[in-house]
Amino acid sequence: MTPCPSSEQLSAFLDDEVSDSRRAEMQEHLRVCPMCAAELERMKSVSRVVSESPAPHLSQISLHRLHVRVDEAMDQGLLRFVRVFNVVAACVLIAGSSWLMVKTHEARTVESTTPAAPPWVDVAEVSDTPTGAYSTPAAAWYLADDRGDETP
Amino acid sequence: MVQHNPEADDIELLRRAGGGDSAAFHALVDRHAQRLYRLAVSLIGNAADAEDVLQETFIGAHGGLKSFQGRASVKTWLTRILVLQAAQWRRNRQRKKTRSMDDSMPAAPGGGEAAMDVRAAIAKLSPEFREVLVLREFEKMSYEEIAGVLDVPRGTVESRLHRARGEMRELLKAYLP
Repeated sequence: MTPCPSSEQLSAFLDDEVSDSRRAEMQEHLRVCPMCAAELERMKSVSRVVSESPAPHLSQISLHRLHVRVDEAMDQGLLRFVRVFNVVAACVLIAGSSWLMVKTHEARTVESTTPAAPPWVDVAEVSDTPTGAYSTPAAAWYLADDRGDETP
Repeated sequence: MVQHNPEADDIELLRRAGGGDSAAFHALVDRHAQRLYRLAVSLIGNAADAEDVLQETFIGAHGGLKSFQGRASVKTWLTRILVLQAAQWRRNRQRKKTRSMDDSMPAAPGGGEAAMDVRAAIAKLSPEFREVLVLREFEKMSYEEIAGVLDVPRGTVESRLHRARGEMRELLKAYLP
């Protein structure tokens, strides 16, 4: 007869958690060892009483509450996403507006440092010909070399 | 005849839930709520707190949908989340120093005196023994699966289960031959 297995090994045997070869050995041993067979039976009784005890039942109301709670959690998750998205969008808007403001200010600064032409002169583009391509008669008189002290 | 594969159904529901299909997640809740509730009651000891832990389990599962990698079954994955939530509940309770498990309300009604005694006996076990016992006796999980859920070596499961049964034998003497 093989040596008696430990009660831990018997417990594993009960749960079919021993190797095939070890199971065969233990089955043979249990056939001829009443003490181990009795110990195994006691373990089976405990297992049976526990596993066959009536299971607590989740009522329909509790199940409904569970679904509602899960829905709330899902909505909170979506809400969190929307909040984050809004924050990001606001930051982009603020950054974009700031950039536009800076660019606008720069453009105005350039304009203000350039002296404006007198309002009575329309400066025309001067061509190579003696007569030029003056945009107005006043411009032509102003730019002429021989006007002397005459006024138009 | 087409073999029905519950695990394949769970995987498909999980995949759809991960894609934003809330109905699929609710279907998963329906498939696992009773089983997980029984576990929760066994681990926590009273119905009200077990319900809270169950809710936190599914909320946690929904939040972690994308982290499911398929290495374990959906059943094992959900069970692990429940066990972790139950452990968190115990830690919170320790901090608040609320009434002990022995003084807790009786677990869910039904089953008669013997059932109450079994639940009361389970409640008297240490958390580590309680976990292995309920996972084995109620969930019929293998030692490897239990080791995966509890993140302990297989040998630890074997040892704890054996000792848990020994304690239960003492506690349930009246009901054993």
